[in-house]
Amino acid sequence: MTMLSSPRRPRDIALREPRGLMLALPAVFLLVGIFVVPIVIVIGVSLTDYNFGDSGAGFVGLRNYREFLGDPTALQALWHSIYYTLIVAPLTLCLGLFIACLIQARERFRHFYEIIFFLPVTSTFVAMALVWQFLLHGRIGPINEWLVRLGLERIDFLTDPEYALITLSAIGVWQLVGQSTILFLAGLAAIPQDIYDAGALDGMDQGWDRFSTLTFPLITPTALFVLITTTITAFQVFDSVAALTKGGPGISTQTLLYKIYLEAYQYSNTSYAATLSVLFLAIIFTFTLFQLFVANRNVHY
Amino acid sequence: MKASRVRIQGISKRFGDLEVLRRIDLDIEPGKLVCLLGPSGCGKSTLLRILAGFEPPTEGTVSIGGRDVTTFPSKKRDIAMVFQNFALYPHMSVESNIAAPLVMSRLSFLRRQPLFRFFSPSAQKIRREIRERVVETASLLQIDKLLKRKPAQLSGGQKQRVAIGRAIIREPLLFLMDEPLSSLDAGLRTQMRGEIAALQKRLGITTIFVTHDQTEAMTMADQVVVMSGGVILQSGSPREIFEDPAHLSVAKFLGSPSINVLDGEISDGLLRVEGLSFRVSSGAADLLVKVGIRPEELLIGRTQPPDAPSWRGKIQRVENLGHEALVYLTIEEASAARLVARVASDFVADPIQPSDTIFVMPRASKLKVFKEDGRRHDIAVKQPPRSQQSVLQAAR
Amino acid sequence: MAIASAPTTRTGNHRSAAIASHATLWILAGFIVVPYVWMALTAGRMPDEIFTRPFGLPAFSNYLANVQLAFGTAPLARFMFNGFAVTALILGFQIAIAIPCAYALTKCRLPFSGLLFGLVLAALCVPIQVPMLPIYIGLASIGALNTYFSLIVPFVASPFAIFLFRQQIQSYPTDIVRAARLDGFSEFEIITRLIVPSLRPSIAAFAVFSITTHWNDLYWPMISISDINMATPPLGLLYFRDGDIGANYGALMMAAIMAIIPMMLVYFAAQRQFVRGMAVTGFR
Repeated sequence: MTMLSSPRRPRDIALREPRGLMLALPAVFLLVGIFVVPIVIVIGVSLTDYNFGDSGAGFVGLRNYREFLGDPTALQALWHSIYYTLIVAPLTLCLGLFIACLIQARERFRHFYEIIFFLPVTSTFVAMALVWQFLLHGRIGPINEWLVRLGLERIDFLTDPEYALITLSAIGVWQLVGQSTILFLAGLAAIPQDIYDAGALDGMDQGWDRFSTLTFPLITPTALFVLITTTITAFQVFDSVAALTKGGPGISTQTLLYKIYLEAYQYSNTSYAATLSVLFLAIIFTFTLFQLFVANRNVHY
Repeated sequence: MKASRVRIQGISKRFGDLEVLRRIDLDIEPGKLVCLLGPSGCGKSTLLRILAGFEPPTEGTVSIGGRDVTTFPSKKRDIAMVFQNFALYPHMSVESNIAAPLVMSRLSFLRRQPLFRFFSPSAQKIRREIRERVVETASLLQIDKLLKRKPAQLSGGQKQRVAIGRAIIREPLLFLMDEPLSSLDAGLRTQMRGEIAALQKRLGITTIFVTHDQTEAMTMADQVVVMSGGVILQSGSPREIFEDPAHLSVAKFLGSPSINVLDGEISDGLLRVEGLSFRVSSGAADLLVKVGIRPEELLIGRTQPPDAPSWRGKIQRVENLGHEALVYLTIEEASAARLVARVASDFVADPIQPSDTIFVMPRASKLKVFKEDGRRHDIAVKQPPRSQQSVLQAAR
Repeated sequence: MAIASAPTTRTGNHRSAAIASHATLWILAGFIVVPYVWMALTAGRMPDEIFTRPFGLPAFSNYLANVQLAFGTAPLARFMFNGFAVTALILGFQIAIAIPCAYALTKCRLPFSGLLFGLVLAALCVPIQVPMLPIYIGLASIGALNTYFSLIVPFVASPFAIFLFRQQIQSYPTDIVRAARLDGFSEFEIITRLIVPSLRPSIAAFAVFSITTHWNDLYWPMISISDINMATPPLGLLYFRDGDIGANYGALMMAAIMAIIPMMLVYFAAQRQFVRGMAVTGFR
């Protein structure tokens, strides 16, 4: 190429630069307009007392942040998000790996299983929430019907503050396990058969030996990826809260994002919502950065 | 030295309707290096996988060192293998890779769990012994400086040595190699070819080596087994299968450039090939045949030899390889058959023009006659009188 | 791998292992499938049957009645149309904006290209719910809420699309691009005639990912839409439930089925892309 381009180079490059810029310009413009400017505004607003509808705003420094630290409902919301994530992410990871290993070893029905376990990932969650609401209904839900038939107490899955968040977490696992299964299946398929064959000759031919010395070490990059991905997804939980409990009963299922939604769009506490948004942004940003720079690199081959 | 005899009896393998191996019988002497040679898809790798226990055969039995191992799982067969892409455990150091088979066979399930070693002095002792063996093996292969590295940090040749180390460390009854040289570059391949053969002789372990490369087979093997379409075409020493191929496919597969094949006919005790006639051993029945003649068995000259049968040919192309030259020509017969001859390079020192006319004389005694179905036709072809050759430039 | 026909002890073990793992998988799959089964059963119940006979197989005519009810009493068709329109528009914009940008990042000499890529990575790490707050205020102040414009605007520039396409275009040989320039192709033609065809699998994977994300999205429609006629399917379902007809579980379940069917069709039509999209993305 160097040979060809030497006489052409000045024209080649000189012509292309402005055009290249033109190609990138719409994206640059929109990324700045949709991400950069609004985030600057959010951070700015979090330092004021602006509320939606006000004609002006006063600078209040870190007052909103101090208010957050003294606001038990907001701290609870943060805790609920963490709690939900701490249940959903590890469970999804372990179940997904377990299911993927079972499916991987089977030739028959493999496709069928993939379809079944992946269904909830593709299904519109709100639609499935309506079904869950019915299934788990305290009085008319069939699950309680069965509990009664088994001689157990009824449980108000979604309306008892003790159970509501756990119930949402369980539904979260139901929803996400397929995603982690698929990711693990891809990871398992990437392990060369040769390595298993070599293992079979060397004595790691099945069961725990094979899993602990070959499969698990080779799948750890995938596991890390799955863990962070589901953590990010779980921490942003909103749909199930909005569709199933509206944060209730009381505030027992208010998560951070749902709290932001309420403050920003229901109560018009814009500056406070902006403060919570900054916190939310910081958490997700950190996890995603970690995913981009750590989890994507650490692959064995 | 635990050299063991390998006996393969009536092995067939079908995947659904596809028959990959058909009634393979093979007997391998203890301590020999045997090459399974054949084009891709001929079943050689499947046969190797059956020996290793990765695939069960559909029919037949395998015995190693006198034990019928047909139903044994891989780890019970006492076999080691070097894979095409080496199949090193990517997450383990070189040391752990080489140690793996010993760790698995000498430490019990409980003792090899990571935490257990802190509680068990005997496990630690065994681990120390294994480590000594690893160092010993590594220095034999000259990789003792690399023990702490991960496979990703090794060159192709180093990976190859690690794979061999992992295979030989536990002194297996049988050593399998699946195209182990194919992922190395040309120079390294030549070097490792020699080293593997030398190592095999030194250790004396019976070895089965799969390759599609005739040079590897010819240079390394004690015994070459040529396979095609799921059957063994011929098994013998490298010299035997080259000089005396039992099948046209074998003849075609070995030698570079490939053997020339012409249509011929036996009638009235004469073999007629493209206008030439040769005498054959009496009593041969009339038959249509294929006649093979290797490029180095063709003599060519600029003048017609007076009374030896020769073709008149036209040169199409000359490839001068330096130490020798390949002459591509067509013969001036109705068929315009193409031939290639291998000659000393000084023969082409005088400018030969394409389309120059030339005379080609086959060495009659070297003509290999095959039946239409490809099998060798066992007859002798008579040589023309010796005197004629003086006028011809001898090939090599 | 394991061939079941050979009569060996090894395959004997395999067989019992196979049975055990199939059984486990069937049980787990059962848990996944329960809501779908219940949905399908309930969608065929008339209001009076919901409690009187909740478990038997429903009559086929009931399904038709509930379809009629779902489409008749709530603007379900309108919701679905909105969903199609919004997902199609978003996808179109995302691709049309991301591919030229990804191309410029990899195959043109841009000033500040490092900075631009940094911007893409940074945007990739931002949860979209955060910038939505000022975007909402902006839209409200120009009176643009409750429009298709408001539904698509936060999503038109997808940093993920740029990231994904950039990775793919990077592996496209630069010499071909150079040759095309020498042959007189314009940059636009290089993109449409060389780059886009080579990106087809990635575009498919991204499309599947984008379509499901935005069809299923609830957060932004809940914020930006208050007019029932502009609702997308998830928001519409909530209206549906909270409205008069919400107590009719049969019709409600039928509406829910209608909402998930398009995504199931997408899934079945593009399963491989779906899985691939899943494996390369993970980002949401």
